[in-house]
Amino acid sequence: MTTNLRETAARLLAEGTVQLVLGWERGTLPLRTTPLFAREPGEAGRLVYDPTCDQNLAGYLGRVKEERVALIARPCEARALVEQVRENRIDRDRVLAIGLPCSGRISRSALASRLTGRVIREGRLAADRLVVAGDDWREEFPWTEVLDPVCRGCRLPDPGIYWAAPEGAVPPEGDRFAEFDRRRSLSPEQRRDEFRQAAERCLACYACRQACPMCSCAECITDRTAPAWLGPAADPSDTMLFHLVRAMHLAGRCVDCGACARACPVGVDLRHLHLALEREGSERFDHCPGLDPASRPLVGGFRPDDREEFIL
Amino acid sequence: MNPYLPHLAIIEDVIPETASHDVKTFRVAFAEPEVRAGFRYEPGQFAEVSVIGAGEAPISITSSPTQEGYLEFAVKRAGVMTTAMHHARPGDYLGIRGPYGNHFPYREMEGKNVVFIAGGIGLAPLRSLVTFVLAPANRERYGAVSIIYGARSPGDLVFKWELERWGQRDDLDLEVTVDRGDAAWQGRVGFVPQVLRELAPRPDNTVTVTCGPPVMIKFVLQDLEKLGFTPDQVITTLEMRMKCGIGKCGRCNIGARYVCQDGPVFTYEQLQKMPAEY
Amino acid sequence: MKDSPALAVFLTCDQVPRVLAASAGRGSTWVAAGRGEESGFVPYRPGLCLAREAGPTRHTLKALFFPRAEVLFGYEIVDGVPRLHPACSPDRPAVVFGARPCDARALVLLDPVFEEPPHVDGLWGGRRQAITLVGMGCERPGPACFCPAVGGDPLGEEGLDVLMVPVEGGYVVRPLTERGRAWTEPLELPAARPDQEAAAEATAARARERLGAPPAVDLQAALGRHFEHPLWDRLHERCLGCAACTYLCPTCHCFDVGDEDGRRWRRWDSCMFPTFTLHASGHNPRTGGKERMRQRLMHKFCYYPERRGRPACVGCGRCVEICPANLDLRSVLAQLEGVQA
Ligand SMILES: Cc1cc2nc3c(=O)[nH]c(=O)nc-3n(C[C@H](O)[C@H](O)[C@H](O)COP(=O)(O)OP(=O)(O)OC[C@H]3O[C@@H](n4cnc5c(N)ncnc54)[C@H](O)[C@@H]3O)c2cc1C
Ligand code: SF4
Ligand code: SF4
Ligand code: FES
Repeated sequence: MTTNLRETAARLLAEGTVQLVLGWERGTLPLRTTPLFAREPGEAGRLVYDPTCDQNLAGYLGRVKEERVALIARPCEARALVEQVRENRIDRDRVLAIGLPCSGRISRSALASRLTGRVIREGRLAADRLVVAGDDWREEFPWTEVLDPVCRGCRLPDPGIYWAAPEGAVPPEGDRFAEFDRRRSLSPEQRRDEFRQAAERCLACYACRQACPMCSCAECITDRTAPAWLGPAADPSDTMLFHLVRAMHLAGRCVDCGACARACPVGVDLRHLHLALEREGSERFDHCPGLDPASRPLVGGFRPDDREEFIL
Repeated sequence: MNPYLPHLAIIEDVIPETASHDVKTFRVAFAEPEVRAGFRYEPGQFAEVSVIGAGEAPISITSSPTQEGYLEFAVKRAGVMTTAMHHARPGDYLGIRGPYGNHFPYREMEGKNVVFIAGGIGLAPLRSLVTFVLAPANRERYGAVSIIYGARSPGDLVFKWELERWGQRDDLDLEVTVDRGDAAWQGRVGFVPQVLRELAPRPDNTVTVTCGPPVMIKFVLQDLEKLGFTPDQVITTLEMRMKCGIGKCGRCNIGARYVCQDGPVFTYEQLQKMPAEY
Repeated sequence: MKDSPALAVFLTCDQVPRVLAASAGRGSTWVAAGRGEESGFVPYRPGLCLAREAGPTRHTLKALFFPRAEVLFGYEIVDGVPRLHPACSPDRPAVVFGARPCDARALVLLDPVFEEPPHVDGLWGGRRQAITLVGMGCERPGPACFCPAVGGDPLGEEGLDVLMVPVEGGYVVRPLTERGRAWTEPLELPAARPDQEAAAEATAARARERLGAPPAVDLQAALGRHFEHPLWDRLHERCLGCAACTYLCPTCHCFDVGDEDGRRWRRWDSCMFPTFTLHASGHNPRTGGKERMRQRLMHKFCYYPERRGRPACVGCGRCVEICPANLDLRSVLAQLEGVQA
């Protein structure tokens, strides 16, 4: 698959169909990848594609200047692209989405807890096996044991968004709402405490926001000084406010790619805030983000038959 | 030692400067007599001024050390703290810490002619040096003194009361200009660089001191070069976003220079060696 | 003032809890504890899981001396007259146990920033003065570590009062200062035997070999020449513009100041944010992501060295480890070193 991908990318660049291919290449640490901005056909030879591809590349689309861009697109990137197109943030014809079948991604935090913090010196994938080794240990197991929970029950968007649709994609089975449902079963106090603990850990570094392909505001509320929404005291109520505002701004737009949680340097995962809104949208308004570029926005779209029993 | 703790000062007078009142001059005196007696500064230095509860901002000390017993700050309403300051009245309290930064090289300038070139509120930092140079004890140490000052419109000129006093002196050549005049305006109309080209000061034994909006500075520098001024004869004072004022918060650097400590006064010669990040 | 190495003592692994309990009995003792993204420095309590990973903890030692937010002073306004209350001295640890040599060295790099006259920052200085730093040498540097490249060493002593060198079965414990001796002596540990000393040397040799020799490049000069190099356009494009690297860097010290709830605070801030340099007028001297990333690197490897003679990086590799884009400082620097002027 990687060979094919490299060839296709090199050809698109050589023929001038696109001026940039956005993909991944090997990173500098075991089991890490890093975004590749390939502009020369020769650079396409560095492309890789496997379950260690971690970031959501669609986040870079708004930053690059090239006239036409090929985007290596898993369903995560494709769903984000759908939303960006729907919001007129990107011209659909500017992007050639090269769809690749995805069977899920490795969660670095799941891997870290499985290895109980032991440092990985070497890691590689051999078919469906993950081989990891440290100073005086070595382990091998199916990589799906450390599958990113986001990937369970993944959704593929409208094939119309692809330039080359992924063939033979078999999304991992399961329920991406599992953790969300566990939280739902907790008491409001327990949920509040969990949220508060996360907010206390949050450094307000905004890696989550920056890694998010849908966080597109030119100026975030955190940048405002008059009034300053987040005070200098760094109170957890400030980070709570930030995450709640972020979730609300992403209502009906979050494509549940999990990039925010993966980006956080201190392990804050607040995906459930977004899932709560996603579920509201789907149950009440039959809305599903990231699947259809022609759909109406969840917030800001109105139909006479919308349910409105919550309006007093 | 807590270098962030300000001294309290009481506002004695508030003078609205511009027609829209977006610039006001505040005359303040320290609340404690020892601080009042001990606060020494040089023309070109700034202070961190606070409205307690609203924040702090770096403001040039526009008064001169030759004026004893009080300090003056001319403040443009820009954001949170400066807006709060604009609401203050005589008798209200401010916090002041400083003085910070380097100062105009007034000793090295002795014996030379001085040309001041200012635009808008850029006159505020220069005024300290103008007053210093014009003080009876200092005036004879300097050659001819001229001031070219401009603003967008007559209503945007600051320190009009001071300009009137300066205009009456015969040991000073004052040229005031506005980009656009109005019905009542009798003076010059034209941009500062135009006036500079017209007056064409001679570079020999002369220094220029300039401060104003970035576009003005850009053209003034070009024109001074054409008039034969070398970069070391051009002195300016810079603005950068600041917080601590004392080289700790890492905010105000241009290359390896911290504007709060190594500046805000630089010669054009120094600026040319720094990255153009200001 | 250094002691002769002959005074080194030996601590077995199972004595560690006793030693920590004794230290905590004498004064507030903080330890490097926890795993992965939650690891950092916390007050000692029995049963705590000590950090044992290769490389440094995720959270920095700097945060004990320069917390994410701290009060500069308190204020109240009574009948229109403000009253200011200097910050009460915050709780400070007397002993920190388990800091890596890179983290200790970072404090030494920050000391002049905060304490250089005439503006001495007593908030930093006060905490620094009273501390005994018991460091844990690195037996197995982490995959992101590169301390030798920036003048450090996995068994470096700079900034530490005591250095512990891990060997089979325990640690060779070397008091390095008066304060270090005052911490070690009451523990009444046996002197390290020559074979244990030799094992400590072997630990050091292994760790150094793993890290490799520092590159023989004048990085400061290279960066100084390449400020305008077009390579920056490519280098920065993966950078997301978050502040993870700066907030978790042990030498980054930028902060913001503001008033809230009757207090004036300082809070970490980052040169990676556009608002960092934004003037109230709307003008911004650093216009984009390229300029901001360049500033971060230039500050560490060019501007700071220009003022203080060595880089403001200790090679802890935290930024390498946490960057969501795996934008690796080491390869960025290598590329900049490699370009021709
Ligand atoms: C050395 C120096 C001298 C100055 N002298 C004067 C003067 O005499 N008169 C005058 O009106 N203005 C002066 N300024 C500009 C003045 O500091 C800003 O307009 C002011 O900080 C805006 O603060 P704010 O709280 O109202 O704005 P906000 O937009 O709310 O700013 C929040 C904070 O950002 C910082 N900040 C924002 N803009 C600037 C800026 N341009 N420069 C520095 N810090 C900034 C401040 O710390 C401020 O508290 C000077 C700036 C410097 C660096
Ligand atoms: S990435 Fe993590 S630490 Fe940073 S702002 Fe987001 S939740 Fe907070
Ligand atoms: S720049 Fe990176 S490697 Fe260097 S001290 Fe900071 S976090 Fe550590
Ligand atoms: S204003 Fe803080 S370093 Fe200059």
